[in-house]
Amino acid sequence: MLYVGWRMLVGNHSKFLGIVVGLTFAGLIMTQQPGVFVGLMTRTFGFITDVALPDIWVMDPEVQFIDDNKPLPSPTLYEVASIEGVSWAKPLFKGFVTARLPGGGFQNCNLIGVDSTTFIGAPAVLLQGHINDLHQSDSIIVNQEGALDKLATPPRHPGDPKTPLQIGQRLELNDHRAIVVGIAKTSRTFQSQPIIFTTFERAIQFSPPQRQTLTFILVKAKEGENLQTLCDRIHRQTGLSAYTKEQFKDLTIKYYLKYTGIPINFGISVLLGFLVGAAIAGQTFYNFTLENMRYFGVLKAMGISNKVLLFMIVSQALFVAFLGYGLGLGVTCLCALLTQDSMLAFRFPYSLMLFSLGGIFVISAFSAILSLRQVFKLDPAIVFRN
Amino acid sequence: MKKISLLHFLIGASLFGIGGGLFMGYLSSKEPKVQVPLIAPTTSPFEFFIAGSGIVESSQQNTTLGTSIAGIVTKVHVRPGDLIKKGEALLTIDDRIEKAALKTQEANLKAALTAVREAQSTLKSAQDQYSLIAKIVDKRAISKSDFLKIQNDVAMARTAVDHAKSLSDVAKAQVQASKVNIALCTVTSPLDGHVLQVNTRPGQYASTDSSGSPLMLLGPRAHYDIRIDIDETDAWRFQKGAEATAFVRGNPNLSTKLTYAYTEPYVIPKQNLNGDATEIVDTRVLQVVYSFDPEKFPVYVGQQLDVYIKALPVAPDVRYGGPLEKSR
Repeated sequence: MLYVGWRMLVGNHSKFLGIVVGLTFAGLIMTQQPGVFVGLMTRTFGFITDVALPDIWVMDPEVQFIDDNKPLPSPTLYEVASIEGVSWAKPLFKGFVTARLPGGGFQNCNLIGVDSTTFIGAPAVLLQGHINDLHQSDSIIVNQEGALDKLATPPRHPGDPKTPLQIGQRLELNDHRAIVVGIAKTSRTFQSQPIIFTTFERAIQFSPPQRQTLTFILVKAKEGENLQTLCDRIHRQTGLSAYTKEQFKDLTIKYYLKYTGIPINFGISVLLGFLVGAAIAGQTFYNFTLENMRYFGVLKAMGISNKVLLFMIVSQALFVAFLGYGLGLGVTCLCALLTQDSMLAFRFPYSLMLFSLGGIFVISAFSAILSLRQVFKLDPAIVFRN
Repeated sequence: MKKISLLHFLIGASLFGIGGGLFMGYLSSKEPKVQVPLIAPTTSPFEFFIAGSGIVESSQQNTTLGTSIAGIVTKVHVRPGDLIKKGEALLTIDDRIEKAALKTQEANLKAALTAVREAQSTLKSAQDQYSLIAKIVDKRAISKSDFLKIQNDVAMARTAVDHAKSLSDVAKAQVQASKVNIALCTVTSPLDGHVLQVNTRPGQYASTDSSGSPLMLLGPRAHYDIRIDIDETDAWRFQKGAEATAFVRGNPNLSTKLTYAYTEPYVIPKQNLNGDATEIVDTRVLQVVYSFDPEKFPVYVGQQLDVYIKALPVAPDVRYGGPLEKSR
């Protein structure tokens, strides 16, 4: 019986392709669009992901997301470091600075100041240079994207490629001399400004004068300490907000979800993809069943039970769902491969894979149910009427 | 046959696509590389503690050297890091004026001594006159007024001698004062210790005004003190004499136990080391001083250390609401 269903499905070449293409598009839209959405959302907390060593981030209670800089008074660092269960606490400066490029242009940059002894908060992967070079005077480390593009020297003749920022090159940060000693690989951030890493003290010199400079306190819990308990303790003893890495990521994402139109726009496009895919696939599958109604009639007349027919149609639907899903996913992979390491954000966690799989199956099930209704209602006598 | 191959292709492509999807999922689930800190951060040896940064200073604080005579420095006898004994010459200030003054005073003294001798010889001549007439038996040989005059001459000459003598004492004292001034031109060490900083060079003007940078910074070397700032919100947790450990920044293996020295009872505004003039101070800190033996711990005066002081745990019901959950 399965073979009969199979032949029925594959028998009409163009119809079969039509169903598969419809489901492929549905699968593509349901994987690619959410992938870009997840990628974009991941970028919002790219910096938190990069600073992977500390467990807890302590900040002003008013901070809403990672780029919200509300510095604390400097003695707070030792207040937090003195709390029971804290293994160590290190300062992190995060701010903005205007870099003057060798060519005379200006570029607004993210400025990160890390603890000058341990360099906690500095990038984990350096493509060029060594982290130790940050001990040199006026030294900075620039992220790769910034060095290749926004901080690169513009070409002498229009149309030529830019010259990337090199180690040893000089920048002017807020009228201070700064020397590039390293190029770092960092996660892309949402605002995709160049990131400049330097020591905490130097970052304060570079940035415009401000009363308070301690943007974040990075805390490592003692071994065996419950992070949530420690966060609560820090909050109660200092009145500051303390978040675990994951909580801070959630906070940042929630901010973007709430205050930017990104999720709604992407949600709509995913929903549209789903609907279009469902319409195409459902309609084609339904048509396909209608056109094969004759054969179903014959089968019914031959005394095949509804149960077996259900099995046939469901297996047909499952098969096309599998093909559509696989092909859609394949096209998504190709897209991702082609746009790898580019401006396009794309991330594809396993959960997303399950999500789109579920979507495809909902579409197939929907079209199968439509078809089944017709088949169940079918009177076997139809075969003899024409 | 053709249909089957298309089907095969489609099935193969979908399997390939699912494989690609799984691979992408794997790529996305990979955690980013965790940074290895260049130097491991120091951690507290105590369960309940106050963390702070301390600045190393000489015991009894550092001595900022001053001078009681203002003038041009002619010679600096020591270099930073030199060990010095109490009374050892540190720098010399141009003493030509003082030396010239001494010469004048010496000449004055000489003149004063001459004046004494002159007065004495006058006295002698008056006394001789008097002894001559005193030997005369017949008093009528000399008029009463002449006798009285000679007698008074002696008394006057004696007073003149006294006067000249006291003038010479004044001149002597002035000579002495000039000598002291000359001696003051050489500034000597008030303590046994070492030179931390030399801020003056020959040819510079050394002022008696102490508001600028000191001529030299001196410190005793028997033991070093470490001054720790404790935030006022944590000040109540500090107990006098509490155990403390200091760690050298840049090498967490280098640490030393500290001995409690004293607490400055006056809470002062926190000084920031970045030296930004626009900075407004808004917190005050309690300064606690501990000491340690510099021979066993390779640090320099002025260096910052990470310090952990054993302290009272924060009791429940303090700060921001109810009892805290117990850790572990």
